Amino acid sequence: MDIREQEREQEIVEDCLELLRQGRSLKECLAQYPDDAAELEPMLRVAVSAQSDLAATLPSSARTRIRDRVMSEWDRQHQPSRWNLRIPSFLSGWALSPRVAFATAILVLALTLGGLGTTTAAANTVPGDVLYPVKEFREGVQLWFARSPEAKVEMYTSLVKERVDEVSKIAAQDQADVAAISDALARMEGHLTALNSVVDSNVTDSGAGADDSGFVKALQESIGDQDAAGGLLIEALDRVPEDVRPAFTNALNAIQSAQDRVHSALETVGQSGFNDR
Amino acid sequence: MSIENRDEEALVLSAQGGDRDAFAQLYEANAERIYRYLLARLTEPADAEDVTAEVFMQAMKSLPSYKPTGSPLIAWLFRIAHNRAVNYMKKGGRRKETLLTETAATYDSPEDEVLEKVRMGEVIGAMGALTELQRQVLSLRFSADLSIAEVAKVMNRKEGAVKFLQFSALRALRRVWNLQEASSHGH
Repeated sequence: MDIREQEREQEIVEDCLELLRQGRSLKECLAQYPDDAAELEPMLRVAVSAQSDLAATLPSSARTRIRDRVMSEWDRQHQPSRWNLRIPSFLSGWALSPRVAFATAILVLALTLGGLGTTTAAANTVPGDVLYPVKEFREGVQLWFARSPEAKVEMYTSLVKERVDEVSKIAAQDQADVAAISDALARMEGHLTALNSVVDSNVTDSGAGADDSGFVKALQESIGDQDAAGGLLIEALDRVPEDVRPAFTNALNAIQSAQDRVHSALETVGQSGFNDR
Repeated sequence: MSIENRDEEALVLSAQGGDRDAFAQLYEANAERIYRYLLARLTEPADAEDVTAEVFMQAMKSLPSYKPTGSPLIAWLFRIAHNRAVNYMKKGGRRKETLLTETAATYDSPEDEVLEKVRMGEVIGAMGALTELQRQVLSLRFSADLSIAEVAKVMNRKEGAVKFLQFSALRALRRVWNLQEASSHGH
């Protein structure tokens, strides 16, 4: 049977199933396609059996039991909380630990008294600058505090944006430093690899991870931010020397691949697409 | 049960705002089809009941991030149901001893349970010979009573692809039943 013939048969089967769904009989369906009736009848009989055999009903007792379970869970989740403080996601998991709270307070104090000026100045540096290691250290500390999957996704995505901003800054200079651009792009790819790893380890094929709405939201936002990062790289591409362009291609491919990973993870947790496993 | 006074999107928004009754109405409107779909996939009524509850509890947790995109809520619930069913099957379903103590309670009467199991046994058995995608299409078409267009939306596939899967599934089922018949005549 050629493809067109197959498609025609599929259409006829679907037409008949739709008629059956509307309450028409098998005989009536077949009467509309007399030339194909002999071929179609066995298959449609199978369809009719499957249609009736699979149409089980939800017993009222089961319906009530399920509703009771679900609504108890609703009540449990919607109990008024004693504390209504919004804890930043990067601190989640730590906020209740007195030791960590103390350490954080000391760190904040130290940065305020001694290093605030330095870290602020370092924020605008690019690879190769004297204060760049300070920026790296600050990012390392932030990464250390990012414990939850949601916070990690946010952190790595923000680091990707930071590296792309650095590339844009370097590319805007009269004589762009090729080594600095390559360095920033390599670091950016490293962040994307780390992001992929967070995504892979927190979203399984079975959809685990879907329960964490904050994580799902972070993934959705990450896609948008990666889009913006890719756009900035493409804009910068026109301003950089020819010999650094292959590094841009690699970086753009890495962004594309990370976006595919996140899209696929979102599909797995039921936000879009379908898990075919 | 159909949603009459407030449309589904308004109910979703209310539930997102913490309206308990709105969520209960969404449950009532969608529970039957989710349960049927899961029963076709998992075969055991007690398993289907457990996983139906899980689906709605997960939907409750994920509701704050749910954004209506024009597709009905049931499409989203089917995706959750599919993932939950796959997860449940990977874990091996419920333990036998739990099954024995709880299945009787799932039906309104023991007779209903026996009739249902006999009725579904043949089809479910034959569905074991299908591919995962073929089983999904038949479960969504015949258990959840979705149209081809709705199945295509749930599965994120083109309608032509769904028709093809449905056609190949029915052909495969016919082959299995022919074999079963030949085997029973042979004995």
